Amino acid sequence: MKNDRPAEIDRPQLRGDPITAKRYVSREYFKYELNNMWRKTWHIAGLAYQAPESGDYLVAEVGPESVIVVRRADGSFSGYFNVCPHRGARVSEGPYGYAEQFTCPYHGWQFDLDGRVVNVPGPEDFERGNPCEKLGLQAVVVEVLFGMVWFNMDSGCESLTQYLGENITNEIGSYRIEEMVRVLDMTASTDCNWKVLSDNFNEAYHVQVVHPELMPYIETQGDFSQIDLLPNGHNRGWFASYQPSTLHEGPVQEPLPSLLGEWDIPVPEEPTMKKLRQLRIDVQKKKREQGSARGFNHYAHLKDYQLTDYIIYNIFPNSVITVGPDGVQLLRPRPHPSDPARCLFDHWWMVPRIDGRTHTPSPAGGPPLPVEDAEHQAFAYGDKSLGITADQDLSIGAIQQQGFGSIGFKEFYLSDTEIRLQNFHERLNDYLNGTA
Amino acid sequence: MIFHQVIELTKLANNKASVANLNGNEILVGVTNKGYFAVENNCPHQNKPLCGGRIRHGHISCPVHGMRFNLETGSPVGQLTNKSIKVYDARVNGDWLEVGELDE
Repeated sequence: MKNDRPAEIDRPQLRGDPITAKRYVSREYFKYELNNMWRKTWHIAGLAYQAPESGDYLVAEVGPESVIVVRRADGSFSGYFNVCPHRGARVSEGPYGYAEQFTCPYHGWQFDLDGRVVNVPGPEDFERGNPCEKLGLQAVVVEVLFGMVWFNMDSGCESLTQYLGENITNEIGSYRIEEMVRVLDMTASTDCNWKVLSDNFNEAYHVQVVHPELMPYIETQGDFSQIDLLPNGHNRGWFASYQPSTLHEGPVQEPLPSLLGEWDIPVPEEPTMKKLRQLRIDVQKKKREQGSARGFNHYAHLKDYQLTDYIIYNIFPNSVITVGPDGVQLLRPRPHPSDPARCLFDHWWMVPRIDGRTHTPSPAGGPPLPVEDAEHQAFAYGDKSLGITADQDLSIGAIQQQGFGSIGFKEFYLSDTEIRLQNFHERLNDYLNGTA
Repeated sequence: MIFHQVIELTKLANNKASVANLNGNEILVGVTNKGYFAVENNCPHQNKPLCGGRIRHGHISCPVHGMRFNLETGSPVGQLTNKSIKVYDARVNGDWLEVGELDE
């Protein structure tokens, strides 16, 4: 076993289920997906620190469902479907707010933080009995992990850590996201099924074509990458950084010299592949030696490979968490409320607070971002940049969705490097067949 | 524009709104990372007081339904109303926050 990377996990036997266009275009499939999968899996509502005090709440949307998670007086969170049991109106607006009690905007029914109806106008006028004694907001299951509030609409679901498994729980946990601040919080609507984008994050085969700017400093395939299929349809991809990709051609290119320069490591004069691959090890050593003195206190919790490399966790179904030495990214395509050919794409960037650093490089390109909690921005893809790399990813969305509408397309023909997609889709099939 | 002393600065805490009196009208004043503000103490969605609403990111959220309003511009965020809240000019003079009212 090589200890310069995540421990390899035995690859499960996959069935080889065909993956056709139906799941991306069919409204019927979309409904089954909602009932059998979305309503039975764990989702991230938001960051716990966004709701610091009792009564602070976050509203999260998954397809047509809307859920409120609210901070309680004891510091814990409770969650409810955001729908009034009286006539079905949404009770609260997102993305966040504060309520001592929730008040439905329609007839003024009020709910305490336990979700119980505590006040309605004209309570004596209900033949079926006073709603205050009987009704309430329907609860969802809520847990807090990685500084994030998660929810599951299925009251009989397994716990979040069982769902995620040990690898994801421990490895992402080591980054201590709960001590970070989210400096970028964007949502873009775009014209493709959500799985077009989750598929894209389940393979690095496209990187050399779609993201050529990553080639000078991140590995995408070969010996310095590793793909693992995790239980429950989750996946992990490890990609060494601070060294050029095996596929990189020509001289050393930015940003590698700048990245090395931050740790006073020069580019070798005759950069053979062997020398270039030593650089990553040199950076790990420097970061280990000098990290805490330079304010990078979070390095102390990370393994050597985590000091330089990128690991992508594809959490089933759609929470893609990419961890790197200096921040954590969430890339998340969420289903549209009704249209299988559209989705909402969330992009978060979270960084540790480092003494003396007021700004941090932006993954969205453009000027550095202030290290402070960012306000949410929502827009249509193309109206504004989501970041260079994310824009590139979304650029394939519409063309693939359009292709799925053609009888000229039969089924996916996947390379071994795209095996994570197969694992994801077979798990999705399990949910839809009721065998998950 | 006539400015009136409405509250002592020492009574203001970051991201908290205080009720003050401007010529007999209740207003909300306070300070955020973006500076001092003074706005009407009324949510135009269902005409309930905004006081008690929490402030985040330069917006106050109505304690009744969570409608949010930008404290610099008064503009609403969300679908429950498209009406803005009234925003007054606020300035510091010595130890006091002063709020401006048009001289009519």
